[in-house]
Amino acid sequence: MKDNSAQFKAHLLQKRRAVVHKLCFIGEASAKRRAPHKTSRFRDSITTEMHPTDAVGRYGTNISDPPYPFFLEFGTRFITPRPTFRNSLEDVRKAASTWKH
Amino acid sequence: MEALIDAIWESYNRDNTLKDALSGGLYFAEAPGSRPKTKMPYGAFNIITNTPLWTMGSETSTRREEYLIQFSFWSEDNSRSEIMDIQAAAISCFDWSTDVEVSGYTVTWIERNTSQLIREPPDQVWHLIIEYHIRIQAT
Repeated sequence: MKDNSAQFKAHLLQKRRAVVHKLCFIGEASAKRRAPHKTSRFRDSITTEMHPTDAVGRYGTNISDPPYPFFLEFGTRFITPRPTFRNSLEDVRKAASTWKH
Repeated sequence: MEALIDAIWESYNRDNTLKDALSGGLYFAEAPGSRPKTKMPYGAFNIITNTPLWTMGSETSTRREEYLIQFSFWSEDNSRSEIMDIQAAAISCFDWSTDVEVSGYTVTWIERNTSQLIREPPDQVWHLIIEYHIRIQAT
């Protein structure tokens, strides 16, 4: 009998990576839709990236100086929170719970 | 949503430790005025998400809803003791609380999600952010 477990595991990983990647894109699209925009700098900065080998991905913004996406998300004394990513996570969760292969 | 906001108010008003810790008060959404002059320390809470959890046949009687609530507290006391006292009082008031009574609903759980403590510009006051997941079910 031939041991093809390595191939099987690689195939599973590939499938898992594809699912995570799609979910990240759903989150990214949702965040872009919800992001408050005046100049679209914030909206344009929202991107997805995948871990090179694992089934791990993330989406977010790379604006950190000044960290105004953080202040928009969580609010300050002077502005109420305008949540972008936390609301988009609900869309990701919904998509994951109704995922069709 | 209104019922949950009322329930949070009532819990806050019943909890003397939290009320004493927040001498400037607790507000929904934001403190009065566009550039708040409210005396610190004070707090505000916001409903970030409200997700209905639908299951087949549960459109009315067993409707469940999940909320993500954010509490924000501000303190200008440079030492961290004041903001830490507020954190302890808030956690004691809301973590897995059975005292939060939402009219028309049963509270399934109140689970603390994350806490963050940051220095907020321009004057570097403490800003403590605490999130709670609250699940309620229609009675």
